[in-house]
Amino acid sequence: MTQSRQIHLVRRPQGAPKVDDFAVVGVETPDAADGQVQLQALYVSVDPYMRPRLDADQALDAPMLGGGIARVVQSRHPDFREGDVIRHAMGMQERFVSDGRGLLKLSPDPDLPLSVYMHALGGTGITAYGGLLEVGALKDGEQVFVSTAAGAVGSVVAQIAKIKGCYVAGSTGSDDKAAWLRDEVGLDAVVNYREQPLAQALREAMPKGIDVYFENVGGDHLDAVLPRMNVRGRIPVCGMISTYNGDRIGVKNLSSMIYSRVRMEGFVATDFPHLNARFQSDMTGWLKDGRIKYQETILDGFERAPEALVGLFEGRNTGKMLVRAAA
Amino acid sequence: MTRVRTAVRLKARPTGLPGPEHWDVQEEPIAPLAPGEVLVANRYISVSPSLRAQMDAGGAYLPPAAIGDVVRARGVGVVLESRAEGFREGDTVEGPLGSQSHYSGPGEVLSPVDPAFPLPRHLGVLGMTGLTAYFGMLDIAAPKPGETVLVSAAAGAVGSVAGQIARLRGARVIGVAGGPDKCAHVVEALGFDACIDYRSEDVRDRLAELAPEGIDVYFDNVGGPTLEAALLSLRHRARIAVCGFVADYNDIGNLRGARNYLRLLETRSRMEGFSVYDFAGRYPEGRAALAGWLSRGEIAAYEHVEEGLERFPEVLRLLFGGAQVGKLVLKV
Repeated sequence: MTQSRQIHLVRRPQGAPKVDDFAVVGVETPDAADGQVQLQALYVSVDPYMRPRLDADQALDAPMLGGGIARVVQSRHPDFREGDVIRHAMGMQERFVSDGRGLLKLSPDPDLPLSVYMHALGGTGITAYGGLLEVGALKDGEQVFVSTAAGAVGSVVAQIAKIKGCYVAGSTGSDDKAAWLRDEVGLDAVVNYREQPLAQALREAMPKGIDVYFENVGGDHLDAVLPRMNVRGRIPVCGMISTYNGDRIGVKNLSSMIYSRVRMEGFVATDFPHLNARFQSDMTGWLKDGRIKYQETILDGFERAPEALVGLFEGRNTGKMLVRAAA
Repeated sequence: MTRVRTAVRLKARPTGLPGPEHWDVQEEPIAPLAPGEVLVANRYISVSPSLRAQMDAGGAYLPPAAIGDVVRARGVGVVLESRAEGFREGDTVEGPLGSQSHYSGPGEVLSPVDPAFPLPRHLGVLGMTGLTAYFGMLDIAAPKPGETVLVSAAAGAVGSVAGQIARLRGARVIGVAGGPDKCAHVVEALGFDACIDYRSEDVRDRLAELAPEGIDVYFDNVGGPTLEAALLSLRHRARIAVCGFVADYNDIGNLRGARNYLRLLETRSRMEGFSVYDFAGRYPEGRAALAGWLSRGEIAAYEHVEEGLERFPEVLRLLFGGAQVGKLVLKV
């Protein structure tokens, strides 16, 4: 038996989530029984997808759902040894026991920080990699436009496209992010959609049209992009954040899909198990060579997970938001 | 003797529904044939949404018609005179004959057709219309046996063929059409499993009843609210073949546009625009399959024939809200 903590949702948020909507709850974690492991949280992930769940799917007075990285501290399971580092979706628990199902053993590269296995080498990375290369069927040297290019997925997409020799432009909503994209990430053009009408900005940013549009926004972004699509263009649909709170704007430029024979296709990270080995190897190399840059905001202390989550929804993070629970 | 033809030429670009004021119908002399050219007496002209698209100044995969041009309509006719190899007087041909009484020009763009079929059929099931349905349904939408397929403009030229092809592939086919007569035609004459009347029924509600588990394929000829309803009812890994948007052609400035594209992500579905011209290398395959189905009575073909070249402007308007079923053709 070990004393540990969990993060619970204790009431449904009224409007924007507040720290008081959550509680840090002390619990006793049992020792690992036969066929079980006990794990200690190293990193806890907070993610945008958690917001709608707070209104419905997330149970009250139960550990917050979510993913993280943990270390095996006791093992009575043949496949795990003490000290193994795993990725899991067991939620916000400082310690927990598991029968091993759903645990993914990691082989962390000693030259990379462990946190990258929660983004560039995790779900974010494979989403970008599979979405761009397989669903987007990217060819070297094509014209690529990425919406929310400074976001977790968008920034990886943009950089993979640059590695593949493409002309890459992206949209973002702040000057700071635009500067990061231009100066650090090396995009060929950046559109600040809060400051410029998108359709006109796209004509300037994508003078040779668009072969692949990586869609994170939907709505007016999609409508502005469609007339710029080149023949046989592809639109991998990763997200449509502008429509999550109600979809008021119709997409008017449907005719462009016919005229340019555009293919638009939705996907999720779990569509690409067949790409995983190649992804791990490519991405590890790119990260170590510094060809993929990333930003992360890490809060120290398991008990700060509610603060991290609220901060994420308020946009106080730069890049991937994480909580470090233990070293 | 100088021959004379009647030609319908574009006079002005419409902003909405085209009317008589956008056309000139005039008689003009036909120049003598040059080597490689043929003279064809046009019998039937295909009236299709692509004619309307050519009237706009840009955007389409076909270049727009210039003011003063004869619009590039497909047609079927009989050769009167030939200076082109492979064509003889009396041959029946199909090709871009144009909105005029006689075609004179290169023979190489024309194809001889089997005069045993009724001539309008070469513009319908056996023409670009049928080929559009064939490649759009089989290559882009690719229904599997037992899947549920939704087809809009189901009584129309392309939709009627697309739905029948899906049925031949073993799919369950639901049509969408305007009015009880068209819906009855879609079910009784074309053999669709059901048809939704978008004028008197809520497409979304009716679709939920007819396909409670959703649809696997949507063959889209209209865009707009029907697309919006179809997006909502997509099953996982569904396909939308985007063929046309008749609902949009005449109201470009004032479109509402469909919402619900998020469903593509939620269901990991694919939506793809296509053009029959991309399949030009496979026309013989498509024509052979369509002719086979027709000959065996597995596909029903309907043409709606209007008469009189001078009526071209009003007949074109029938595309947008007319009561006809099947392929709209104009008898010259």
